[in-house]
Amino acid sequence: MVRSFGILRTELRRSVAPSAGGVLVLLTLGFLYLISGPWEKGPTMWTAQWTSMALWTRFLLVFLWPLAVGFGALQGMRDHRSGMTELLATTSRPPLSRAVRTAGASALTLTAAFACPVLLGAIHVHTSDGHWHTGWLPLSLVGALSLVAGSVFGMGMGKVAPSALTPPLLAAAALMGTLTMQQAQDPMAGERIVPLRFALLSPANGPVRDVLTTFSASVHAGQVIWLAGLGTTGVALLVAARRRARLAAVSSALAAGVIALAVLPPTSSRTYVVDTVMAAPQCNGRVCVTRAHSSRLPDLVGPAYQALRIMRERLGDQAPLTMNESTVQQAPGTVRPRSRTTLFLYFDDWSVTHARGTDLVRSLIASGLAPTCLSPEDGSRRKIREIAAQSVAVAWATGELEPLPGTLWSRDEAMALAQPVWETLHSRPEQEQRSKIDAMRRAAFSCQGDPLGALTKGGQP
Amino acid sequence: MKTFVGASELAPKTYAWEIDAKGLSVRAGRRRAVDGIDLRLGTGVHGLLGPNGAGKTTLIRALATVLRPAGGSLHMLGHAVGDAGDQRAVRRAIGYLPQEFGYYRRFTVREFVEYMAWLKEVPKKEIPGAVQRAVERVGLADRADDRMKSLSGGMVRRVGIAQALVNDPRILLLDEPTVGLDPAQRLRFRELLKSLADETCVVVSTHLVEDVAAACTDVILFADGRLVFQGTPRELEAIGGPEDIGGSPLDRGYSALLASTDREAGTW
Repeated sequence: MVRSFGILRTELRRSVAPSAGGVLVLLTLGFLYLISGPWEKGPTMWTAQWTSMALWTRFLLVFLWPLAVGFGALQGMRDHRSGMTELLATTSRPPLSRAVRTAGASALTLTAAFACPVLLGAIHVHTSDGHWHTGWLPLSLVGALSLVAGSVFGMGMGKVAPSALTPPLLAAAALMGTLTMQQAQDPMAGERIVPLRFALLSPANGPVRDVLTTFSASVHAGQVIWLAGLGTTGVALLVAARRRARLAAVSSALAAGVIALAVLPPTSSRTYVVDTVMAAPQCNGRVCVTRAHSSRLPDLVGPAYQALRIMRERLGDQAPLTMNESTVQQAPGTVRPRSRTTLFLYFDDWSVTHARGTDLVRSLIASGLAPTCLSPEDGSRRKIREIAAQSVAVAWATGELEPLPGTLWSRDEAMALAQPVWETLHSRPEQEQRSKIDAMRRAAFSCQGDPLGALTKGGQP
Repeated sequence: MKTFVGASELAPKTYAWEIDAKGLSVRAGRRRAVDGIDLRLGTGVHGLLGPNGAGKTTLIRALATVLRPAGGSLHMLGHAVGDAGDQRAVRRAIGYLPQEFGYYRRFTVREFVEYMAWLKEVPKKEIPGAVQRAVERVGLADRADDRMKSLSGGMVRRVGIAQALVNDPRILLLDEPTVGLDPAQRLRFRELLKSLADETCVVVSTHLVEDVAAACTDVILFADGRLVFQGTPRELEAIGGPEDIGGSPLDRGYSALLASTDREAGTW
């Protein structure tokens, strides 16, 4: 075994592998640490949780994978470029044995290169409040496998078509593929250029939208089948000497692709599933959050009970009794689930994640009295009217009109809308106030009609 | 230092000739570059002489198992070479320096020769010693840890000879090995060939008659894909007369034989 290790060591030092590994590590770390984007801030940042770390590092395969393919092609051309083809053809060792060493060197360096950001991320997640679970491992393992398979496939192509154009063309084609398919893999993608099932053949997933969803097992299975087939084709191309053998080699990837497409899920809901470990409820009495956000529970409980108590006082048996973090994935263009008995919490909502103390109490009351029909990122005129209605509702419950916490809309505008409505409402008899509030709540819970309009007109006899 | 002796080295030979060709034809592209030759070679240094385009390289490539015979039969070390032949056993026992010797530029001399030894299935434990011996034999021990790309043309050629020798081949095929060597290196190379003659069947293709005169036990003269002469250098010398072109007796023998064969138009 000593000598075969010697050959592997030589390949590790002298082949394209170490350069490829180095380039991949530098690009990944540069991207994660130096470039600003959703991966480095917010609740879904790459160091927040194990799954988000695994998904963001795999997100980077959008350019790492084409590079691995290109470097592989460069490596595959080595015998031809060096004029060694003839001499090598006269040696007795089977070509597979040689291919395994060369491909092995690339596999080791690329896996190590991919492991670097994953390990760094693991340290970040571990030292922050990430919850350990093993559900993220398949994501990273498939990611590493994709680099190995891509590189070996590139080697095979470089061997078969040893032209100076092969590596750049192959890498460019791979980049086109990963970019297109990544767009189609985004769970929030509206119109998909390619069907989701087909897009899932690319190892580069879309941006991480929340920390409670992960890929389903059938995604992992389909991807492993496809990548194994692609890698097998690469090895077979490295070994094949004749045209017929090369055609047979390509059939391995095609067959794997067909099987993978049968295994991969066709719909978004079967692709992205709730991560049961991370979504497990952690409760303090009637207030529950997911395990992913259990560290927020201590700060949340006080304001939550206060909000539940105030709503109980004002709404009586109409008030929500419990508070739960929602684990429902929201499809684009749909409204969030709402219930009159349970107040649903969302940690992608700035007013929940950043507000403290009385601000948080008012924010929770707002969600309990008039849950929003629009996304937290919405900044439209309709959103401002919604905020104004919520502000008036909170003022009705607490007796004081104050701006709600939030950033994506103008507080002054919201307050300018809310002020006259509140003053009118406040001047009315208690029973009329309540009937207007009920009308507003009907509008908010059904997402039909204008809640602010309901406060001015609704409930009038 | 212990030397490992494999069972195959101790076993008695089961063949009469290291290389045994009967009616051997080999194609180079569409042309029949080797055209039905009979050739029997045992141990010794066999100089393969002939004008450019005579088919020397094609014959060597067929012996190196790069090209398959198009007709006739070829046995090497008792194994039939070709479609049904046991190529692997033959390949383990040959050393080959192609006319255009390519190499991995980023490897060091030692790494490269080690790699070739591994490809020729030299037992793992013996590789370091075999590599060191091969590198020393071509006088590159002091450059063994230099990168291949830092070597001069002559040194690269010597690495080519070292890799051909590393598995202690029983058939050593050298195509124009002295190209790029300076006169002193050429002299040392001839000494090396002589030292191999007792145990190895060496086939050296060259167009330099003096290489043959100095180092070969046997001369094979090749023209237009056919064998024109096989014998000792002395016998070749005897064929030439004072009227033949050449500065040495061997040159004159060579000219005499080539003049007697039908030379086609277009040769120089």
